[in-house]
Amino acid sequence: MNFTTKDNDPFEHDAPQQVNEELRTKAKYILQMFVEKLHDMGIKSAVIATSDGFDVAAVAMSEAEGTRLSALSSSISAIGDMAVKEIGTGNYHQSITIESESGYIFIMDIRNPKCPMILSVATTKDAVLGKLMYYAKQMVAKMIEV
Amino acid sequence: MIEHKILFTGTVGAGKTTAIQSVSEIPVVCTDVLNSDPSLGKEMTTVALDYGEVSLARTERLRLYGTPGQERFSFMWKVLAQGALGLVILIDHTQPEPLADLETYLKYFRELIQSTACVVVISKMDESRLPAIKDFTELMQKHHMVYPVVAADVRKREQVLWILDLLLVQMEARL
Repeated sequence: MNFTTKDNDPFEHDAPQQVNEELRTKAKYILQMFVEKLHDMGIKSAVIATSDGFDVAAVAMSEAEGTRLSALSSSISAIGDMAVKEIGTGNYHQSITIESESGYIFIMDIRNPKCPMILSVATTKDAVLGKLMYYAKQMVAKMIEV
Repeated sequence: MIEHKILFTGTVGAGKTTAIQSVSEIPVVCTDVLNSDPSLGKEMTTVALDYGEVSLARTERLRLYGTPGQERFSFMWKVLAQGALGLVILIDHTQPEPLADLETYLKYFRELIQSTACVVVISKMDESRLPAIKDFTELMQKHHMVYPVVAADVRKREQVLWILDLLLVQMEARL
């Protein structure tokens, strides 16, 4: 068994859509709506990145931090997928939460057939994970259709 | 069983994943995703790590780790370098600035290189174009690093085994 996404990725044959301005604008809008809904949850930064780690849209952070979180989320998400395949608990992770002493990093993949992306959110400990996950799922569903 | 950790790094598209796939005796664990950077001219790219294994004798096994090539993933370089006993730096000769590319990795992995073993591999080597192998060697010497620089086709198992041999010779010399 080979664990590249090539083997069983249903999106294998779609050429990656160039990240164009239209996609950036839509992503930025959807991300802003998402962050507004979670205004009381200590969101430090929220990013939509391509699965290979380039930022598509970022909210509430410096540009440098957006770029960094984009690359990090790409690696973490790929390791998440690798882990579930290796251990046989599925093909893809549904979400990844990293808890630290002062906050959370929450990652959820956007399996958009034309352009696979990743949502990642960094928060303080004020975040309520259930609520965050609920809105993240809604947001990801919207991003799959753009 | 003695196990050594070997790290493959170098430019995007130089063949890090390919090199590990050429020799690994287990299915290679990859973290390839769709590449969205049109300037790279390839469909998939590694974003976290590759992992493969090859045994050399009944008592010796190499654990092969590959890094992503892009500098934006340099946090993975740091993670993967931990505990490595040898480094293979792959440089794609068809890129516009192969010498500058080598310098990037020499600087970043300086400590690892100086405390362990290293081989620089020029892939997709076009003999009719500069820089030549000796230009890479001279660049290494400028950084006070004396390690083998070779051209190889990493799609070929025997050539990757030869590269690993060049590493092991150095590792044994250190013992």
